[in-house]
Amino acid sequence: MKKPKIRELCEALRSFFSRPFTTTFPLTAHEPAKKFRGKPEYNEDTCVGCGACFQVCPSKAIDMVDEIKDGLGRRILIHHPKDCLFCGECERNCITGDGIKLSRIFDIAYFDEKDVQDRIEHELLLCKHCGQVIGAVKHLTWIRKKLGNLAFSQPVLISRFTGEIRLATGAEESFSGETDRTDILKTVCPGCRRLAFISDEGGER
Amino acid sequence: MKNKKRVIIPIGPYHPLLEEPEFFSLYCDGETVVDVEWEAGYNHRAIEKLSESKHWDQVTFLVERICGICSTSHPFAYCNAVEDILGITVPERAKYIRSIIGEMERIHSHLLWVGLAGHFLGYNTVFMWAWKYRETILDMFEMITGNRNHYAMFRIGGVRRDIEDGDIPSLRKVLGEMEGKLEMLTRAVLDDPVLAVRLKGVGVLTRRDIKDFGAVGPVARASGVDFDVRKDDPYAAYPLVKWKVITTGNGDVFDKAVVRLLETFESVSIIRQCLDAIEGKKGEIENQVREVPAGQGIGRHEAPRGECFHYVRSDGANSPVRHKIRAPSYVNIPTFKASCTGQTISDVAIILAGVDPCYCCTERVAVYDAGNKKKLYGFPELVEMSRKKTERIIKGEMK
Ligand code: SF4
Ligand code: SF4
Repeated sequence: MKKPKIRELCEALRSFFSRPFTTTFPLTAHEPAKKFRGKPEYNEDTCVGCGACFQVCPSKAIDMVDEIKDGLGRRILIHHPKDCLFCGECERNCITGDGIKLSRIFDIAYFDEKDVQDRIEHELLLCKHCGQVIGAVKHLTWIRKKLGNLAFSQPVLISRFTGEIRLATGAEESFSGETDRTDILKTVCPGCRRLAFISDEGGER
Repeated sequence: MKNKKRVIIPIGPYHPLLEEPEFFSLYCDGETVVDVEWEAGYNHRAIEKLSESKHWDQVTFLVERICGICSTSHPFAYCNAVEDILGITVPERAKYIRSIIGEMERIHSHLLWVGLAGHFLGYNTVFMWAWKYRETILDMFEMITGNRNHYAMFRIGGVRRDIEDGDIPSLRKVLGEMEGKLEMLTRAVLDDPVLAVRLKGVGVLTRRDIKDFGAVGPVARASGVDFDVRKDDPYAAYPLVKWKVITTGNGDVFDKAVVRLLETFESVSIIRQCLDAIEGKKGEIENQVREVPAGQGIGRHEAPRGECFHYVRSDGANSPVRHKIRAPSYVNIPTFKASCTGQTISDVAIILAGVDPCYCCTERVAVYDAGNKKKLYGFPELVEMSRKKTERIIKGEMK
């Protein structure tokens, strides 16, 4: 009967004379662990706007909005911390490797959700015929660089490339209005290209 | 009498907080409980259905959120199930890491239980201390996996993060300290005269009861049924390390506590052996899985509360076509019918806690007088009565 009491007394005394185990958090800053998985953040330089993070996110915490206004397209990726699981799937599946990275920020309480949201905008390449989205400009450039010579098998990538090295004269992007055979090699969406394939020179389908 | 008992008045509050909220009705004759009824299904989150709409990798994170305490047991069982369909094994290093995570979780879950049990008995110091010790394990989780809970370590084919050599010394240090604390706690429980009077012979489940109800985990092992998935259906690194299944024979709440406490020592030893195996070595931590073929698979994991079971069927597409989950509390909770009947009301709180169901589940208890079906007590009153009884024993008024 006596011994157990002594053992527990020791522990009690030790607890009594040591610092409180709890921290005074808001007063003293908390330092999360080195590998802590906090709020994901986009990197302006390395994110190319492919939208893979949006597709793999298990909790749909990332929104992808494609806006087309006055013939200009913008892709906006918005990360909502309120839905995020901090699982890191977005970081893991990012095609460039560090377009989105989990930071160590844990303090994401908010009054206005916009304060904690992270967003990134990209320019979209639109089909010259129908105005449909082909992809983010930066994404296509990234693919072109990655593919090297193989990129010359794909008309949109070719025209991106000729544009970049200033070989484009403007003739390749002139459109007659109707989809015709020559449009195969221009900046058109897959739908319009299919249409162009099945039309003959006269523009008849 | 029997018909009258069927009148169940669901008494709130219904906090849809954790998994498995249940509704209990205790029918009492004076101080003695004569019957227990329970209902489940108040908080249907449609996890199984939801999982059919997510692709294979996303489901891991979905099932991780079934339970807030043993959050790794569901991904563990799920990954085992999908790997069963694939017919692959994970790399050896991943096996060890999986077991380390599983056992660390067992330690923190059991400590949490010890704390809660102390709280119900009016030993709030035990509650504070056990949770204090548990905190260091949670810090280790943050260091290794990046989060205190919901570790997101599992992935079909392996694990997502490696345990780096730099992290191992601090983990070993925590384990060493933990062992001392656990030793203290276990001895304190084992030779405390008040706890012995309070818990021995309370809420007894016989081997027969365990078989009848199909109970699993520490509840079954406390009654001498040595059923443990880690031994009986080896997976991950469990066949590669030395450990033993803890069983005791009395089946009362005291034994359930003892089984849990002793299991934490086994967990510490398993983690140590796993760390030895991976320290200073490099290796693959995952097998790339391109697609899941059509087929069906089952996966099991010995969660801290017992066997966690997942059944997954695939038709070769991107997401499961059927995903069935059975959590251990689901089979353990019906044992209340056997363990509570014939006991006094003041013991009910600890008997219910002895099974280690989620705390919020038991928040819905209401006590009825067998005669007039009036609601007498809610769970807070039950806890209060439980504490009073302990006090009376301490003061020597009761034996
Ligand atoms: S961390 Fe996970 S939940 Fe959060 S945005 Fe990335 S993928 Fe989605
Ligand atoms: S580059 Fe990475 S961060 Fe950017 S949209 Fe693609 S996957 Fe997301």
